[in-house]
Amino acid sequence: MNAVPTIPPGDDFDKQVLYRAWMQSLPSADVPADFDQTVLRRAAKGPLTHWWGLAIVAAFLAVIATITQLTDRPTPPVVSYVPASPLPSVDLYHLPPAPVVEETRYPDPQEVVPPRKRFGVAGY
Amino acid sequence: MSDNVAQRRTIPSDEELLEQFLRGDERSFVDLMGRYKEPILSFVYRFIGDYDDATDIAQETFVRLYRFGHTFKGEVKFSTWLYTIAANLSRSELKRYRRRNGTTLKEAFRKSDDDEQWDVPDESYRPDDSVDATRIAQEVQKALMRISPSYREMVILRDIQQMSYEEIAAVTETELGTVKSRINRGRQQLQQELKGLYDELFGSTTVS
Repeated sequence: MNAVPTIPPGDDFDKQVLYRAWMQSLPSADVPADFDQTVLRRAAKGPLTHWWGLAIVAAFLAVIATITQLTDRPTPPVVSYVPASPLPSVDLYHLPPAPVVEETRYPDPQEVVPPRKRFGVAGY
Repeated sequence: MSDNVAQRRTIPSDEELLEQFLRGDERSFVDLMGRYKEPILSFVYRFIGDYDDATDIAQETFVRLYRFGHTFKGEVKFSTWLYTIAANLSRSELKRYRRRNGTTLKEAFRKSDDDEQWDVPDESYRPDDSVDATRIAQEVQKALMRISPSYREMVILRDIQQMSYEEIAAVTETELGTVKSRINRGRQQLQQELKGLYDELFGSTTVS
């Protein structure tokens, strides 16, 4: 009579149903009574903790810098022998005479010619 | 019906609450936390398996929301964004755990779709009786901790948190195809891990 065939369930049909039922019937975890208070306290405390963290890092860096400064002495310069380049030796007792140039001529005042006055085109 | 409409109007959406909080209304933040603290804590607990660590991570998730809520741009749903924060924090916690226990990061987080063991399953897990009181819940949680974390995370989001594949892809920052394949493999692994319990409760002959 019924032309529509029945669809047999899979082999593990029962198991799957049971598995799902078990999963969905797992109880919720009870929330502790002070849950809200703890969250609000931690949320309010958060930025302070942040500053504390920064302060600790800054203090640590300061200590490192101080230690570095105290232990960081300048290294002494190493002196090494550098031979001087040989200078030409000069015999100060046998120097040649220095040339002396002296003006012995009497200054001639006539040689000074006053500048000639300049006139117009036709004038001399 | 008109009551429902009126009620919907009076209940602000997550995004509206966030907006009010960013304008300085601390009460809105507490309301948001009230909506999501239980699902977030449950998700993190199922993922990392330790109640105290899960509480700490869930709280840190809301602390991040408090401080960085202004960075929410509305590209995804608020809940998806919040789960992303929780998932990232949980993964970081798992990384720290692996480092403490001597597994190298490369080994622990070799993320490849074909590589089923991108992380080493936690064999030393002991269920927390304060959360999982029944034996079935304890066995399921133990089985969850035995599968690799990349599968575990997605299976929890899908089968416990009832998220869509698209949301899971956004939370885990993974391709949609990869999400589907990992959920399938994770379920298979989980069913394999729970086979003993199933046989014990219903007999090994009922199903193959």
